[in-house]
Amino acid sequence: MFGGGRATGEILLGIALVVAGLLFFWGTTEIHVAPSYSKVGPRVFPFAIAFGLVLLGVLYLIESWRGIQTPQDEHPASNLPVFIISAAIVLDALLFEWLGFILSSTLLFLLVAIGFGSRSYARDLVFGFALAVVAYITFVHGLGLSLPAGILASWS
Amino acid sequence: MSALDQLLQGFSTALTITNLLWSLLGVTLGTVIGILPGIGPALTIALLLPLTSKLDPTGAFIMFAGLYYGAMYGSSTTSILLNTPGESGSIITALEGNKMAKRGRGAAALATAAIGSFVAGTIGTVLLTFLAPVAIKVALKFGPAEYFALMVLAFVTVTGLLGESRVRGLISLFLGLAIGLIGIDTLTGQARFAMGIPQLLDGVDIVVVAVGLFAVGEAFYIASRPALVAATLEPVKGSLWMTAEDWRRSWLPWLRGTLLGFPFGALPAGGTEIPTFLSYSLEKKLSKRPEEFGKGAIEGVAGPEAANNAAVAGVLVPLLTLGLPTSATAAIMLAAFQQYGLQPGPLLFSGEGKLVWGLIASLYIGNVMLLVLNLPMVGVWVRLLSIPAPLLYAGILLFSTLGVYSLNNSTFDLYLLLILGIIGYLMRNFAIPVAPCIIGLILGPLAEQQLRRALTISQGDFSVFLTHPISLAFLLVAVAIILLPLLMRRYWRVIVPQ
Repeated sequence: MFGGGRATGEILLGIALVVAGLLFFWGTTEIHVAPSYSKVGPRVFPFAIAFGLVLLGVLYLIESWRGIQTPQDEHPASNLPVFIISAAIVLDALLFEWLGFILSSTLLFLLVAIGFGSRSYARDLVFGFALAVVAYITFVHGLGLSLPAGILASWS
Repeated sequence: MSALDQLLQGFSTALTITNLLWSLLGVTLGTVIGILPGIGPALTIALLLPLTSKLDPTGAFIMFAGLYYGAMYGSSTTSILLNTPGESGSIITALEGNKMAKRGRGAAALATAAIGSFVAGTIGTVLLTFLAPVAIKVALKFGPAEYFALMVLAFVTVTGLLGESRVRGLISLFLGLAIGLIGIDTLTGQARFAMGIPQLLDGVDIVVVAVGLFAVGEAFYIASRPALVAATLEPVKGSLWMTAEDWRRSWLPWLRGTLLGFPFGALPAGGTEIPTFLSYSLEKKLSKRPEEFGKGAIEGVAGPEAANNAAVAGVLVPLLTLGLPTSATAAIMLAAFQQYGLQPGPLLFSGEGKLVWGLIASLYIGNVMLLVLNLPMVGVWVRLLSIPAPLLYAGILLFSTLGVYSLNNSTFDLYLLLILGIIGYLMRNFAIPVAPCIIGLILGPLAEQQLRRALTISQGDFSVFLTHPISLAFLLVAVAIILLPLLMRRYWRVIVPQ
């Protein structure tokens, strides 16, 4: 079962856990402890968790090496939709306060739908805009939440 | 005051118009999100947290609990008609239920699922009513050492019993524990792992983690596998009135499922999935017609559906009496208690009796509402399943960003949401369960607090966990579970149908 992309992924995951554990070790030594503080301080629990992460990374590598695999996924995966949806969220975060909730959410809705393989752009735009408007009115005017109005501020 | 008196007082709280409306809203929303794939009760309650922070807590919790019950009813509909379980507790229902639908017996499958859920939910709520005061008496004997040992036991069971690789469960748990460390230490005020980022000083909110792992991670996973987007919807065929034969074959599985489900939820044993597996294999063994299993046996729907609803009622016992969540949804509900400054446990029952008993009473009412919503009205909800996946997931992400932004009115949380979404996607790809991470995140800081309190009282002597008998017992059980992996693996091969 070795040699496939999954085995490489498993090794990378194991190493990532060990590295994360070591980073937490280093982070724990950076926690300031008052010299007069004689009780069990803020470092004890983090040390235990950092140790656990390293140990689990090693155990995972051993399991993977002994061939205890993660269950095979029968569906072929494609990473393009993941990139499109990630870009949609980043754009949303960048434009959220400037464009306002309604317009940035409409854009997010359209891009996520495209990520899911939709090619009915007009339908997605209309649905996204309508949903964003309904959500805005419900939460801002109904529940008193504050969401940015953005460039539509003069209308709402 | 006896449990019965307190329950009657609870009904006077739950039967006010406002609280009836909260309950109706909760069970309706629960049915909807249970039916819709890609959105579950943990995610929905997480998204509602920032929106409900200004509401009356009694109404909010009545809504949350109704939502949790409702999701279990709704998800069986999706399992039966779409062969895609709406929630993890309904995986088994899909096995027999979808076969029944394909053979034109979809309506009977829906009926036995809904009535079984009602029977189990009601019996489970009765057990909750009378067990909660007993559990409170036990909880009063607990000090920090006992609480810490109990949490260690919960950590072991939520990871040790879930799935076939315990290393993967533990990885999820430790990920949650590690994320829980970020922020200011509550006892000394020192910043930990904040990396100089001011927004991280308050810690990573459980809402961001739950929404990231469940909503965004799930969206990535489904979008990357186009084969999962298309599924065939079976039309509801047959009569919703079960035949005498159906009743005769259903009622015992309902009761057996209830008896299996409740303890699994109530003990820190890891949620609603395991009792459904157990109930399924039990019904298969007891059936006079085992050859029908796999081809649409009604017992295989009735038993597991009762088991998952009874488990939900069971989960509320440790949550309300000890503040111990045993499922991802319970972990989010614990976060909701914290948001209102409430601490589940004996003090909640004495100080907020109106809230707790109103909540428990509302579950009886909610179950009746759910039976009506899910039997005569099932046709209305089934239409939800025809929403195209792109629109459904785009909508879920729209509400996810809305909820996460409203936590702190900050776009920083949206970037954090994306990072957690990618982690959730990787976890799905490597078959790492998400629930232990959520439980670790909420229980980790509480466990640390109890550990340090216990050690402060004992002046740094670690033997305190072994000299207190209750604490020792919890730790021994935890060790036993760790030391019996081979046995467990064999056990799993027996109970998990291929």
